Amino acid sequence: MNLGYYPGCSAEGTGKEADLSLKEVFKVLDIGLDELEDWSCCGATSAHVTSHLLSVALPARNLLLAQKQGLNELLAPCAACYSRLVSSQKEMRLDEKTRMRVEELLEDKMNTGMKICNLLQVFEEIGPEKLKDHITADLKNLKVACYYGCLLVRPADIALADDVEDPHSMEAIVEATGAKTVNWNFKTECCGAAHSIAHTDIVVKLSKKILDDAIKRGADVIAVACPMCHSNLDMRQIAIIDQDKGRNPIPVLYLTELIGLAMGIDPAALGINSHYIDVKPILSKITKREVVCA
Amino acid sequence: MDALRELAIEYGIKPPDPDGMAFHRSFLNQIKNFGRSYEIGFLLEYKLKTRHFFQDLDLAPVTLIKGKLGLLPPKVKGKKSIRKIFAEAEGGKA
Amino acid sequence: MRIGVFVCHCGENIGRTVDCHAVAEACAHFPGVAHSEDYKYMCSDPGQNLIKQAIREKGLDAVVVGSCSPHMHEKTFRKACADAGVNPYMVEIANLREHCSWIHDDIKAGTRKSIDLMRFAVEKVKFNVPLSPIRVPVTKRTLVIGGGISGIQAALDVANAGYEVVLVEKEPSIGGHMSQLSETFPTLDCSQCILTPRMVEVYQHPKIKLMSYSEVEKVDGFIGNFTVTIRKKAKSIKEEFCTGCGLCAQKCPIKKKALSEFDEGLSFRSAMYVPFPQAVPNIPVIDREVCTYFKNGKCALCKSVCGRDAIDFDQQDRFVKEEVGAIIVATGYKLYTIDKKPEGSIYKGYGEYGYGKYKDVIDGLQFERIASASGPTSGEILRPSDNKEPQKIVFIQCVGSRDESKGISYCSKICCMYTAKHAMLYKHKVHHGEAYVFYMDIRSGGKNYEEFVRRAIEEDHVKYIRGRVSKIYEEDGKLIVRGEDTIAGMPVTIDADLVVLATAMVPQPEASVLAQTLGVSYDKYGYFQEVHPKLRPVETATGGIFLAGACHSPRDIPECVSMASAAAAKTMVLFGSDMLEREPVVAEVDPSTCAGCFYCKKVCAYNAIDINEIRDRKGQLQKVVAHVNSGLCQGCGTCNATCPSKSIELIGFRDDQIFAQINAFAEV
Repeated sequence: MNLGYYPGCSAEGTGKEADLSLKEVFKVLDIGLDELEDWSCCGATSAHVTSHLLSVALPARNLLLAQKQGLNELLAPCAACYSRLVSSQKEMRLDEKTRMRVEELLEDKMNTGMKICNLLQVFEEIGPEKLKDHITADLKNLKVACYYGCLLVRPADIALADDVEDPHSMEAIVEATGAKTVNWNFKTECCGAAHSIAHTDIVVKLSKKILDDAIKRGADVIAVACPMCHSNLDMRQIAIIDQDKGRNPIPVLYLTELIGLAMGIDPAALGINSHYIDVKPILSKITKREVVCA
Repeated sequence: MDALRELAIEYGIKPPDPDGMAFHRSFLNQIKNFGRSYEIGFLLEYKLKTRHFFQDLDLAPVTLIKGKLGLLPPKVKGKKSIRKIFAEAEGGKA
Repeated sequence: MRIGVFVCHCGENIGRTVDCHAVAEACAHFPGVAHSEDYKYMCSDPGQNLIKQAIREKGLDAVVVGSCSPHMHEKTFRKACADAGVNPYMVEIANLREHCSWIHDDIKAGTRKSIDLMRFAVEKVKFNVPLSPIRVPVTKRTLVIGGGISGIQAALDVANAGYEVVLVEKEPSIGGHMSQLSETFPTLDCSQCILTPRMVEVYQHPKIKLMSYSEVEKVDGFIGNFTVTIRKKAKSIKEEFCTGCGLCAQKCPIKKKALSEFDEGLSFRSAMYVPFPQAVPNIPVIDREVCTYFKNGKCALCKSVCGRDAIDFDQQDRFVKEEVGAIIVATGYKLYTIDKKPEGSIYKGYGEYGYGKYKDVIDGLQFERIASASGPTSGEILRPSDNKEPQKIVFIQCVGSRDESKGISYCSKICCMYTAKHAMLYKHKVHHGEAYVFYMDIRSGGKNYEEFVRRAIEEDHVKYIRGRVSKIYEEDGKLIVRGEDTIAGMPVTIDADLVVLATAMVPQPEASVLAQTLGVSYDKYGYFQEVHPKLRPVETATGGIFLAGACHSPRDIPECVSMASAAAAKTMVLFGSDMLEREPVVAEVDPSTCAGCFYCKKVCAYNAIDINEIRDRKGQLQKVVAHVNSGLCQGCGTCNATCPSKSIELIGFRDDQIFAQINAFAEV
């Protein structure tokens, strides 16, 4: 199985663990990743907030590249990139005028039929059974709070989650690794997203509520599937701890890092050492699985 | 909601909170120039616009050590088409 | 034949784009036309008198009127001619309004077209023959489907007028949702206290045949002559022997396998059960899904304790046929189930409110059961999770209603009133308790309704917050309700002990199936469709079938009762005469050319084609042909279009009449 891969801007910078861990996990699963050649930014929040044309054309450029590269399925591990790519394609599919304007700009025809998937969808497709085959560590003592944030569930017709208010697709993947999931209230609450830089206080306030509920429900770690969620819950946790000294830090893992740990991959290779909140304390909860000979 | 924001920009309304707009302009300028986001370029432009020079400086050393900040700008070959998209968006009706 | 032509100006409607006088003048020259005139308003009294006068003076035997659509005034002109001695079916209408003046601007072309339309009608009428209306007898019995307050009221009204009623109810007892309520607004009357006397009246009424635990299976026939097949579901009890002592239900050992439907799932009922103590009839029913005897042949305790040998495990569903002349549909409503995904929707209705996830998030009917003295908590306001008294209750209005994204764009009408009632009942029982109501608008338009809501606010200090709730989650045994106060312009968070959702009223899920069985239209929600929303709200387009209550649209009890009495009155209008007159525009088969292929029978939507055997004097079968039941035929003409041998024709639209029009057209 070969998958088209759209890394997204954060993959080279603040979200590099997402990129590293994804590549490691897919190596073990023997799934090839065809990185999109010469990909560019999807526009993220800034494009759709300031210009409709930018918000459709910037992702469309990448869809066109994928088309030309002969890819028919594209994985976007960042929830925002996924949302922008799907929205752009959908708009071009539903509105003739928009599509024609973009085709005029890019000087080519868009086929608007690309299959775009996010991390949750791709692991759902791979299936829990295939994952279990590669699990070598025992995670049964690890309690994970699965955090979806906004864009993995909303808008409902773009994100296509199993349930808009109480999704379970990430829990299914996490449980396939052997870890336990907790039932908590803030799994789809907003962390503050792109306000991280211009309105840091809002992000601190919202992210604190999310962390508080996860801790209250007994989680050891929070799992995320998006570099923005990760940044706000991990990087900004330092500011949260500053405001509320004496609170216990709670590490935030990418879903792919969690899967990688379960597969026995070296934590350093997964990028775990680059987090702001130290992940090492929970590593002790992960033990080697006893191999039972047939 | 986005429609209201775009109209406000078109009408040249001054936002009561300029930091948000500064963020978006700085971010988009990196894409216009480099094709992908260039964090150092973004930070320089944002700080110059907002004068929040000391914001998040405490995080800088840690970030650099962890290798999370790309020092060199990204290299995208298809910059022409990206510049064309921006020209159309900024010149004609957004 | 001497044909009279009358061209109506219809005020400005036709006169503006058609030169009616010129049309009348042109018609005067058509062969066969003995009289031609135009007038401003032909349908008016003086207009009609012109027609009658011309008939008498000129000895006319056929009339053509150029006017608005026949749907409007064909009956008017037919009657006018009948009054003057011309058979009403010797009248043809040329539609100069909807077919000409309203769709064209050019007065010259419009006038030319009108002259042509008149000519086609004149050529057709030359082939018309006098017809008489078909008369059918009326069975003066009524079927009422549904035994809630609407069905009960309709049944009593018709029965008290002296006509027999068959009342069919699918639950083991009549009473409907009104029997589940604790108190009714705006008087705060005890609901069962005002309802049970009516229920008993129905049970004891000599003219009402009550069939409980039964459903309508099939309906044949037409207005005045329906044959209804009713399925009497097996109660496993021989009703004639049962005294309603209740010993069997008491002794039934299966007490916790089935949730009580009457208590909206808040308590259990036994396998042998009576839905509630005041049930009418007070005869229990065995739920065969959970009864041990039906699952593995053991137990039968009920049979051993029954002193009258009334238990019959072998009882099967029975089918009975009833002949009735009118049907009143009163199937009522149910509440929107918000934890289930509605069909075709990507949203599970209001997952953010946690209904079905948190035990203390309940809907309106569940709160009624909690507040009711005969309910699971004997009338004490206690919350389902831990049976503790809630100190703070949050009521949320408009859950499902007025929300296009969840598929229900209408207002359920009763929720503002019953929420105020619920809040008041709570405050009356728990004086120090806090009640909050999240609303969008307050709709309290009935008599004393506005005053009732003000009472809740001013006397019982219920706190009304204008805004919607975005999320409810559980923390430390409390329900955290996050909403908005739009008047203060701020978010609001309340830690409630109990949350009551005023969920939308929707029709019964099987309503659309029943509608198809009856041949009645229904809308996209499943509500039965009336003929005219303003002037004919209780009649359906199917003759003889009337509507009463919430099966038509959301409404409260006084409106249900009024509508039920209105439906009853309509049936009595029907029963006012012994014979019904039907339009003679029906199909007719020519048995000499009919080949007996029965394609017509296959395409007839009204089941109006019968199979007729033609035998000779010795009784030997000569031929099998089609035969039209003129009582059922609606004159749609589909059979006429389908018949390969042209053996079936529509009277009033026969081939020679149509060809006359076509030939007239070809000469243009």
